[in-house]
Amino acid sequence: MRIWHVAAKDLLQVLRDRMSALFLVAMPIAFTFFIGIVFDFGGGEEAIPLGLAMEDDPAHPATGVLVELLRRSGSLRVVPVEGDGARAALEGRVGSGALAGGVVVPAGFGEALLAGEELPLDLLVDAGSAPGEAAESAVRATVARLATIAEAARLSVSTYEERAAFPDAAARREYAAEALERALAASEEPAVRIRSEGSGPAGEEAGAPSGFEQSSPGILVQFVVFGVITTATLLVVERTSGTLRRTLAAPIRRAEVIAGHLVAMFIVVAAQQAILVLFGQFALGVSYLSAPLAVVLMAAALGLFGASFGLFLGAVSRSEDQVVMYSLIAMFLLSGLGGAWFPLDVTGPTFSRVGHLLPTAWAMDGFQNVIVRGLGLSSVLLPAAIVAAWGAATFGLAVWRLRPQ
Amino acid sequence: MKLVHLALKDLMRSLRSAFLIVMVLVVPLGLGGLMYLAFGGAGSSDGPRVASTRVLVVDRDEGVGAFRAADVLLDALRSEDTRDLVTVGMADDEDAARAAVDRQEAGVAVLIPADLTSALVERGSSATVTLYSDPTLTVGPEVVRAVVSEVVDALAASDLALRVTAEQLADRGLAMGPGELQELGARFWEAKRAVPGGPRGGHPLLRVVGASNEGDSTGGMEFGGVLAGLMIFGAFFGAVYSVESIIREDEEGTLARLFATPTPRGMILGSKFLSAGVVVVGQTSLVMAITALALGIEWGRPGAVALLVVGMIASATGMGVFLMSLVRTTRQSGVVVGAGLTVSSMLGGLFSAAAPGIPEAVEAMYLVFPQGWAMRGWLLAQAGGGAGDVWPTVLAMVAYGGVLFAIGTLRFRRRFA
Repeated sequence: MRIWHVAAKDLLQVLRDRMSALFLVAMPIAFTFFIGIVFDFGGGEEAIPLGLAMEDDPAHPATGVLVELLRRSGSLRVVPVEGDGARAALEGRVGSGALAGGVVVPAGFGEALLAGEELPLDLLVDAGSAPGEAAESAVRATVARLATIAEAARLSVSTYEERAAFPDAAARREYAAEALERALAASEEPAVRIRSEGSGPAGEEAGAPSGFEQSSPGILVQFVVFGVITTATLLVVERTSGTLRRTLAAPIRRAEVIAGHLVAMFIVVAAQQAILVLFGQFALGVSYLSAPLAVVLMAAALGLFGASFGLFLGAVSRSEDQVVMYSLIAMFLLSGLGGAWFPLDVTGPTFSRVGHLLPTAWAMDGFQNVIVRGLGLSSVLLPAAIVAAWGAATFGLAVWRLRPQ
Repeated sequence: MKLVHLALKDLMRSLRSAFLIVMVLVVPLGLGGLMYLAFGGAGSSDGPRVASTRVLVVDRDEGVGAFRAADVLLDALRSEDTRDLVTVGMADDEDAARAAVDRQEAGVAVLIPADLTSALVERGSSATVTLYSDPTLTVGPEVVRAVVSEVVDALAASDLALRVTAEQLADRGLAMGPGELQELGARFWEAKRAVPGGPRGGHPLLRVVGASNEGDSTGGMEFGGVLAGLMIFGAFFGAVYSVESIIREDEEGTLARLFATPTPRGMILGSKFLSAGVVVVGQTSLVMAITALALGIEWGRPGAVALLVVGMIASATGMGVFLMSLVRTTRQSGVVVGAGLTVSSMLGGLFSAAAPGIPEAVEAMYLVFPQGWAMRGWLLAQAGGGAGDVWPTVLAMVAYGGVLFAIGTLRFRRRFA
């Protein structure tokens, strides 16, 4: 019973502190919403912005087919860049990151394409960035389709010329334009289609996580680490003010005091996660409740780690400032390395492996197994076990630190 | 001289704070380094910058004669150009491949149907290649889709070309017989250009030009933007923390004793401003120097950099004076410094402005906060802008700082009158 008294005391203090509501609820909700809107790693309906600078005649049938193919690409959003300095403007916007890439259509491109001559498009892109890679892949696929369509048109023109001569250049051009149109239309009914499927919620086309599917679990994980500031501060104040010694002079064992603090921290973290999960589910449409037991298990494991970490923080810090400092450092490291801010698959292989040494990466995997991959309880067993193991280890460290001096 | 002595006193006290050093230097540099490790540095072309995606292929293609379209597809997936991006393995059946993707043992499963070749060779039928991918992945599935599309397009080119030719000629009364079409198809393949390679293979119609990091002054733009955001966050934090000394001294009682001396109150407040300015200059100088040396970040032309530092001093210290004028205890200031500064930094775009594709409404919201103007200025400088390009932004920062400083000073004067 004494454990519950200690826990209740801590919970009462947390509820009375207005900062608690700020750090535990208001800030994570604000961050989730903002970051979810701003960042989208390729999921949802946002296409990659691709600039287009036209130095050739835009009325030429071949350049018209190119533009049409780019616009029909599901992963690209064409942004025309016009004017005399279009190429330079395009370079600047790609360089600043406003555009994922830029295509410059050189003068004479259309005629060269119909003549079978090599006059390449220029693709301006930071091929080392994730949006740049995706833009390059999409443009490359589009150019391959364009080449196929142009080849079909050239074959038709040359075959006709073998059988009957064109009366003039205009007739030849008209025939070629018609050939391009037919080839474009025929390419929409290909002999072979490609269908993309994902292991997400049934019926959805495969795609990367939407902004909220990344930010909701990401901010939840981040603020489990950061949110224990309030409860850890209570323990620091007890230690430094002598309250803890007076408490231990009472008929209560040290283990009961530690357990009481741990229970309080666990309840705070669990309540915080419940609020953020419900906010994610009902306000942002994130599919947490597609496997509620899985989410509960994952949240429980993360809660154990969070509570243990808070206890450890309270044990090693000597002042409130140190609690804030250590929790900020831990939050940045665990969140940054653990995939809470961005998917680890867009980072290098080494970074991704290092990230998976941390509990936050496994927590993200567990949550995303449910909300993005649409999997169930069995998919979170391993992530939950690893996070719980981290919790147990951190708890052990905290208990060792709080041992009688 | 009294102003300098007071400012030195405040500066010494601030520099003894491990918390301040961590927040203004360790966090920006540490996070910057972490981002550099995560994304391999801007413009680095040494080795793969994303993890390789494991691809499982289920090959059911029965082929036509000696030709199997699936062999062409597999060769493209295994080409040297894709080796860094995908690792190809074979699976026995569809269920096993899908299960492997669900268990995250593979990123993408490519399911090749039995009638793939016959759909390409024999007109009138169609087939579907299915890509089953892990929805949490971004780059890998896109790469695989691009490769498969290119190969399928190349293989379907003959069918497409013959169909268009036959239809156009037939419309003009020049219909071709089966023998003629067959001969035409053979000629087409002879004249066809080389089959396109993987995503990094060259295509004669496409020339890839790096838009950044080719040794010019805009090197590292995206990453530079991230670092700029972190630097601005640290600078504002440092300035606000320096000004917080007013609250601390008020709590400790030393402020009242200072007021009892023949020192103008304006000078006392001015000393806070001066020490905060020194912290901002020191922090920005160190962050820029270390990142330029260690990570090759180019912050911009000296004139633009100098102007922006001046703008940051004005806006950060003005914000510090204003925020501290709203609180009366260090406990309250902790909330303001921690939560208020973090939220205003987030809404000012310090953590997101360097990302591509930001909605215009969000970009407009950034400019409601002085941090947003600072971020805009540094992005301009890193893009090669000179003093002439950044001065309007600096003017906005100075104006912002001036207004906030005036309001904060007025409030302090009333409180300590």
